[in-house]
Amino acid sequence: MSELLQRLVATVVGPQHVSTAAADLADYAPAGTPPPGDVVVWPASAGEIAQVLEVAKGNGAALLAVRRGTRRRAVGSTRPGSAPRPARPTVLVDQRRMTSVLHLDETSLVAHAQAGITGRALEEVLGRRGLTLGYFPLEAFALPLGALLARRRPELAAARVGPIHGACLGVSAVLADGLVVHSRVAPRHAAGPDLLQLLLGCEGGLGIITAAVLRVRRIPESRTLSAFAYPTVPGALEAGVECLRRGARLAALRVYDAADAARCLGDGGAEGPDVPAAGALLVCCCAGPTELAAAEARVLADAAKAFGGSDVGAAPAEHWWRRRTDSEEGPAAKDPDALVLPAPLPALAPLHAAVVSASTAAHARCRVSIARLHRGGGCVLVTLEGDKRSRERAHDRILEAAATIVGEPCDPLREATAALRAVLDPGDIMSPGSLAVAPC
Amino acid sequence: MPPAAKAGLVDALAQALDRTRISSAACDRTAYARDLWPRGLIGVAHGDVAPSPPDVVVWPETTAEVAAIVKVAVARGVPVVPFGAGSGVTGATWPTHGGIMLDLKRMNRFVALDGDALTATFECGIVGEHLEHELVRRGYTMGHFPSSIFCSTLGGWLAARSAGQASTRYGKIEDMVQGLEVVTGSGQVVRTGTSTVGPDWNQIFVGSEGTLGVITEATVRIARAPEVQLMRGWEFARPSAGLEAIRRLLQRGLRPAFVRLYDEIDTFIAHLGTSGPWRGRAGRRAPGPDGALDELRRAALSLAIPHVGPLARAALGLFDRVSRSGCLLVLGYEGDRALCTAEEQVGNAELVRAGGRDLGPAPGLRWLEHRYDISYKQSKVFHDGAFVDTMEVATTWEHLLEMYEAVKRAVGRHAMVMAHFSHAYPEGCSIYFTFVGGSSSRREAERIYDACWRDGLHAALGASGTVSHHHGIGLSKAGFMQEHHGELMAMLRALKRVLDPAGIMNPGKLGLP
Repeated sequence: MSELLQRLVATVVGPQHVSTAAADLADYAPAGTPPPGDVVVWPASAGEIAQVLEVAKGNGAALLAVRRGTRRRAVGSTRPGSAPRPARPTVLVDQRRMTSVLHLDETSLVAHAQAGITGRALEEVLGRRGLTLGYFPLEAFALPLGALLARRRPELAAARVGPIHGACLGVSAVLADGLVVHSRVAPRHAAGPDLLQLLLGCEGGLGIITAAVLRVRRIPESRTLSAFAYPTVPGALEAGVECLRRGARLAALRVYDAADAARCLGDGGAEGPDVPAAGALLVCCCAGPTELAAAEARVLADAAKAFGGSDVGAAPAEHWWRRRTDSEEGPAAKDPDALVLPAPLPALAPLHAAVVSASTAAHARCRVSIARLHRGGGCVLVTLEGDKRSRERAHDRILEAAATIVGEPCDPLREATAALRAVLDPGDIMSPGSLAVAPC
Repeated sequence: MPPAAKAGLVDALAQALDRTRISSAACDRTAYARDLWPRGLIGVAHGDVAPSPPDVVVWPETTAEVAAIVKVAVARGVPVVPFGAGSGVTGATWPTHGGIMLDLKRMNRFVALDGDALTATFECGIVGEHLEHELVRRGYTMGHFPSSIFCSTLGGWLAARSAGQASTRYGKIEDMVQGLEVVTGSGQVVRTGTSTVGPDWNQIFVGSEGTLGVITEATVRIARAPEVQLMRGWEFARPSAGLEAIRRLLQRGLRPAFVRLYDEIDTFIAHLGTSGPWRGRAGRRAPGPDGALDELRRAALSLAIPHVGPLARAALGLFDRVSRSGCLLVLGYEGDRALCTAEEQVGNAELVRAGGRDLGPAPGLRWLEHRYDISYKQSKVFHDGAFVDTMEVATTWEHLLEMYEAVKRAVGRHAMVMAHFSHAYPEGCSIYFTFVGGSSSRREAERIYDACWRDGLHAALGASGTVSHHHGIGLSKAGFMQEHHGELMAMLRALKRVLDPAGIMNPGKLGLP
């Protein structure tokens, strides 16, 4: 069957853009697990994906949108390695050839790009024009747009925009019946439900996103960085959140506990911050027109002082900003003992307390930051230290605590989502096994 | 509604709620037979006051009652039309298939406020003015100020994807919604919350105009009550200059609350409505506050005279003065004092650079004082045998002037048309066209009215615009949904099948069966 599928798909995309080789397929599987499909295809357009879909349907095969290179997870899975391997032949669709910027509208500040382009590649194109997607965590830029938008990722948020899918104004997608659809691009509309929201976060289960239109912004003309030390983490967090509540549109802010501040900001040519032993450091970036950035910095300073903070100068914040823009966002993002726990604003302080408590109970040490703050929420970033067993125990306890405080990933209308899939994709062709989560 | 379905309906509903909150009296059925869709108001002016009466009106007080009512309707195959305050202008609550009119106004309770999360929860029948009062007295605001705020409800705002006058700062209603309680078309009660997996159900029910279910409760984002409000008027020679200034200002990162740029005709009309110190380019002292409406009525009556070319008359009577009036921009900041002061300083410099003339605070304050007036004075126009309606469309900045010219040209073939630009965003803006026309014959007036919408919306869509920015679809734009959404309409039809399998929820709206 694989050979037949390969031959048929090759008539659509050309033989050089389809493979059944084990080495190629292995790129799409978690290390040590079998590949999630039998054939991988690298189409060049939405039209080709629609034709590949027809081939798959005609041969009883499924279609799974994937991305290559990570060997960690497929787009359609909700947890690493959790997507069940379909019982039937499966065609993997990797849009790595679909990397064009189709239109850059510098008047409206929107970029239209194919789904295979990575955030980093798009950011390079934008940067040459003095534009940017925004101050998202750098790990967001490692993903292709299609993967970025196929799942809701509350952890990939920027202070002014919130989660990254909030920057999406429109998409093109291939539906299960082979239609290529394009949502109308507009700043806002009142033309019924926002149907775009059926495709964002649908894990390829209701359609494969092939292109997206994203809001972009001008690189700010000035930036003001500041840092304040606090006796406690909750105090620092409250000061930062107070700024957001007052309406300051900060570009980025982060709270380090003393251990994380010492580890992340205490080397690399800058002086280590003067943070009390059990205290915290609030770092903040105000960006935009010079006068406005300065006014926001003043609001921040007022709030900082009102919540017991002391100004420690800009050096730690400058160090933070270099780390943030020059590399991945600190060790929490890539360390296997790191946890990224998104939560609504009111849940961040209890979650932080629960993390510290769970680590202590497990006899592990932890370093904690609270980052990616926006008016809807933020993330507690945890790095565990200590012996392996303690770390593993702490890891599990922290996840249990987070599930209690924040809840598990869920779909409040899971049955409706399943029914919708059944209507739109009666043959269960598109990313089988996706969207299979517990109800809220 | 088929007689078989109708028989015994009141008795069946009495199992769901108290009989005193059920009515099939002629006066109630007449009162709920239409909303404020101007096409219906043309009919009213000719004596057709109840074009589409429901069979029964119900006033539930709890979500459980709503669910029970919907289940009765499902069992009997009876349509259900959710109703807020009836201020809609698209016919979205016209019970065209009869059935049950479900008025939510008794579900008007304030439920909760979370000052840490900056969210508040209300039942959806609460009238906008009351909702805002509940927040203001606790030190907060929703920041949602539609011109219908005195006669529209939270549920109506959500159902139609409403926008308020401060949308540039606070967003539209869809930007504010955090969670919903909904009774689906099968009578199931669901809570949407924040989806982390799968569709964002908040954004599916918002804008659904009662076709997928009844929104009974909502949690919305709120803000602290503003410390300061800084209003100011500016004058630009042409709309294009004013729009360029707004675009640059927003794309630099400023977020004024109020942004309204009036084109030359709308400026002239707005100018007639002022008695403040601003004289504009024409240098004339403005008449009293009702001047704008008087001028509109005169223009409308002029257009209604059958044997003179309307544009020629308009040109004679009005447009000779318009070209000298320039374009008025009203801009206002609100929120934290220090931040707003800095924003205004940066914004003022940008507007001066773009060629704006600073008119001081008076035009802005004047607008703020009278911002809800105009909607309540339109009945005079209909009384005189003419009609007035508004068409609110939006697009990105790249296409905005093209859309402005195209719609103005298309509608201008049939009626007098003016526009203002409001609800501005970094990536685009809405245009609010007001058109006035008429005929002494109802049939001819409706023909002209339909032609305005048909040609205007085709022009908007052809220029990459939307069919609506914040009034919704209802009956008036149902025929344009396919053109707006294209093949994505298949997904809306699928949603309808899933959430309203019996097809009872507000049938005939949104281009759905």
